[in-house]
Amino acid sequence: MAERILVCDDEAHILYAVSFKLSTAGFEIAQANNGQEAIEWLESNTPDFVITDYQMPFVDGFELCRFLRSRPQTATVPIIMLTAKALELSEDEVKAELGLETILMKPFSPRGLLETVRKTLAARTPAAAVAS
Amino acid sequence: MQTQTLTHAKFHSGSSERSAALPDFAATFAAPRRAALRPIAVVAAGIVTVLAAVGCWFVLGWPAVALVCGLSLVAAAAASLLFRVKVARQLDELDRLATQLTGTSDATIDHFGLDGRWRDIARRVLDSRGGLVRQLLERHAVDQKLELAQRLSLANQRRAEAIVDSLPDAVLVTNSFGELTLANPGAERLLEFKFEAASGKPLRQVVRQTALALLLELVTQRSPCHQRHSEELSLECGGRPRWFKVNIAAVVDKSGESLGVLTVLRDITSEKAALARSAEFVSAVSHEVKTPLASVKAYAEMLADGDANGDPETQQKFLNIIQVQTDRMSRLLESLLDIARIESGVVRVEKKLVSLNDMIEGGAKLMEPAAADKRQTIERKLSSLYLGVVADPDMMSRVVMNLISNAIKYTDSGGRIVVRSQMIEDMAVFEVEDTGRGIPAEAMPKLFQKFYRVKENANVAPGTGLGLSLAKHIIEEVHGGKIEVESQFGKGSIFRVKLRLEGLMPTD
Repeated sequence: MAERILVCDDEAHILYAVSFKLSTAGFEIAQANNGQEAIEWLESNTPDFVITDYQMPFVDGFELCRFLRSRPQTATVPIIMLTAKALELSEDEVKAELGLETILMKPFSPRGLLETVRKTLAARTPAAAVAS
Repeated sequence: MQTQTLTHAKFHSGSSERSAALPDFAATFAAPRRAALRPIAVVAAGIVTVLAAVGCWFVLGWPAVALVCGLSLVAAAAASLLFRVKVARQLDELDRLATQLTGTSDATIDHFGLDGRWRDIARRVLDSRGGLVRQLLERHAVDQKLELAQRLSLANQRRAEAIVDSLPDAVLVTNSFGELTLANPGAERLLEFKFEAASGKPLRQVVRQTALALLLELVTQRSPCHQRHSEELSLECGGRPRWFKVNIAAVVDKSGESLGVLTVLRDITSEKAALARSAEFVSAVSHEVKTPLASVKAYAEMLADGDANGDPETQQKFLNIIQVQTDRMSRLLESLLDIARIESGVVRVEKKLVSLNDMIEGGAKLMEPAAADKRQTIERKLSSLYLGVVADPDMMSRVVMNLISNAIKYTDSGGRIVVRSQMIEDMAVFEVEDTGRGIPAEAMPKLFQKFYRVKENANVAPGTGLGLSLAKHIIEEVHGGKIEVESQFGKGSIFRVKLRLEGLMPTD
């Protein structure tokens, strides 16, 4: 079964590009235009991976990540943050606080993003298998 | 020396007649001689009194003798007092003459025809008093020099004090014991104390700002001499945090002796804020440029990777996105350059008297095609008056077009846009009213900030968030006018520009 990835970005073109790349690679994609929409979707769904922008209207990437971490079903879901912001906080601090897999700076490489997603899932799968 | 010679010449040339300017020496000396005869008269009077007393004893008995003796004693005392007063006055006169005679020679004494004892007295007076007078004169000269020096040093001190006092920076000087010895008004204002009350007190008692007191103590203790220290410090002033550049230096005189520690605090809050704004601006620019760039890179890479191979429609879509995003970037860079050019003053502002109505009409005409695309009408409600304003026509038409363009962008198809001009008091007022989306109340204060875009309307139309910021700069900074906005979210907005009215008649 294909892993389900939640992609969240207020830039329609970025959202489309990420979705296109990942769905071409065989992943199932859920799209959200901002954090608010993502949270609404998460009420009834659980993703295997989350890719989110940082700066978004209403609910930003930080808040979305905190929301994900606050719920048991998404407490350990891998997250990649995409951002065009030179982060106010240091990257390492943010990564540690939100338990991020990585932070990708825009402009990013969709190819690189896909590789990171694959590697992360591959690294998790055997661990998950051992656990079960 | 010069006066001496001159006086001599005068004395010798006119031997028989005395110059009016010369002191009446002989007369003065004759008076005490007459006064000196008085004691003889007193003794004679005494003898007469004794004889009279003896006579009275024979005739009237003891009480009369006592009365006569008493009377005579009173008379003698009065005579003696009179004599003393007279002699004292004469001595004063002698003193004055001696002063005048200072520097004259024996020849002068001869010239006055003094003889015997008076000649000796005159010579002694000349020798002793003359020396004294010379000393006094020298002393006087020294005193004058001292006074002058004191006045100069006082003037210098006052000048130095005035300079220190008028410094906008806070200046503090502490001695080697850490006690306050100088504070200018800047320091009193900043640290909220009065120097009169704080002088000589340990700094920690005076300076309530603990961070500053600690820093000063630390630096003073470490090494009081040849010490220089510079640090940026945030202090609470009047309930608000302010940034200060604190410069601390040892005050050392020429001999190398330490006179204490000088502390100067300069308020750098506004510089800090400017730096923060500039950093914020750079960060915002980078975000705004990176977002379209991210799309361009992503779609170009996917095309290169062949992700859309075999699907010409998707390929075309990707290429279109690249084109649109490239346009967005160049539009953004153009706006940025415009702002930079206008704000930095690189663009020459060429103001002249123009008709506000003509400017509005010109802008509206240029925007008409864009309005027509959305089936909107631009309705003119222009004043029948001429409404002359002094403005740079290029910049002013840029503002007119920006406001009309915003109205078109954020008003749905078929909406109504009204451009209006009128005279209100001494102002020429221009308005663009739309029936568009409007602006939420919480967005109003940020509306004219660079890169700010109303979240709710950001997806309605493309924009850089720079247009209104530039319009505000052109109207308020370049033209000294005012730009305002009235809006009701969901109903529409009115943007209003007020410029000083310069004429009601066209001048040609």
